[in-house]
Amino acid sequence: MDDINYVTCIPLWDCLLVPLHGDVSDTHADQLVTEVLERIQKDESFGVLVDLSGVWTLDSHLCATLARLALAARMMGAKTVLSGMKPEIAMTLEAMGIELRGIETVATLEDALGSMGITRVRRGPDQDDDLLSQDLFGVRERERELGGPR
Amino acid sequence: MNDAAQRRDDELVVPIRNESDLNHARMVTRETCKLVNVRGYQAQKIVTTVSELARNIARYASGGRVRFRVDATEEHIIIVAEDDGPGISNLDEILAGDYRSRTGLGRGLLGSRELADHFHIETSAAGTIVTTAFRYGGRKTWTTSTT
Ligand SMILES: Nc1ncnc2c1ncn2[C@@H]1O[C@H](COP(=O)(O)OP(=O)(O)OP(=O)(O)O)[C@@H](O)[C@H]1O
Ligand SMILES: [Mg+2]
Repeated sequence: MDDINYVTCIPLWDCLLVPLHGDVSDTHADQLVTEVLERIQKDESFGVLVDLSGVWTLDSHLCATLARLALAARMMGAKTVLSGMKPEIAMTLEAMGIELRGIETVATLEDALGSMGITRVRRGPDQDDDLLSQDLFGVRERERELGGPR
Repeated sequence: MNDAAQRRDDELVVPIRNESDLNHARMVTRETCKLVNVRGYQAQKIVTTVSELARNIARYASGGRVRFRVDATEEHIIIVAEDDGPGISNLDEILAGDYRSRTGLGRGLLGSRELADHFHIETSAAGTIVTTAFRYGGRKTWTTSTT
């Protein structure tokens, strides 16, 4: 019926990032499985990061589909990690007695990357060409405090 | 959208024929929740229940409908999923948790029963009617039994 459903697979080093959003229809969920499995084979991916931050509702069927995807991906040598599940969705699944067995579930996309062995390497604070990352880590803030008027 | 929700008196009826009608049913549920200021976990429980019940209609019955009604006095959202399908012959087994689904996780009906504040199911060879109610606002129980 609706052709606005397309699957986004973003290559990320040797992983695939798959962000889901809105209402994931059954057709969309099926397309997702096919598309991701094809991409794993084509790109020789080792990991699939499914980000659920934008998903409105997860029901029993979508959980079963994600579990099916994870199982098939594993048989192709890729590990699946789910991230970003909204608290109210997690609570609903818990109340329904639905377990996402066999799939690793983490809080954030950073955790998911971490689980794939991808971590951020910070540049040293002495490298003042990288002011942006210093700002992000509050390094400059700290320096200002330390070097402030005594 | 040729399957727009019909308004009959004080209720909203969403016809369910196949799985492409599910998105519409979920949308109407979200709108109903917004109407009475239900959000977060409470809204999620209602939308998920509708998703489960509507999918069962699309998958196991030839067709049916989901009825939405807001009881502002009792502060309940009442959702009825009914179909003209073959009925559920092994309902007792399913509700006892002894059933292994071949088509899914088998948590649709049991899960909905857990999510709803009131859950009632009637089934026969003429079809299935699932009635659920979700409270909103300050009230505690389906039938006011507290003194
Ligand atoms: N409206 C219905 N009409 C006829 N049979 C039904 C109906 N709803 C459910 N059933 C039967 O009851 C069983 C249990 O339904 P339930 O929704 O609990 O699990 P499921 O649909 O098998 O899996 P899931 O909902 O987890 O994807 C179904 O497998 C089906 O055989
Ligand atoms: Mg079901």
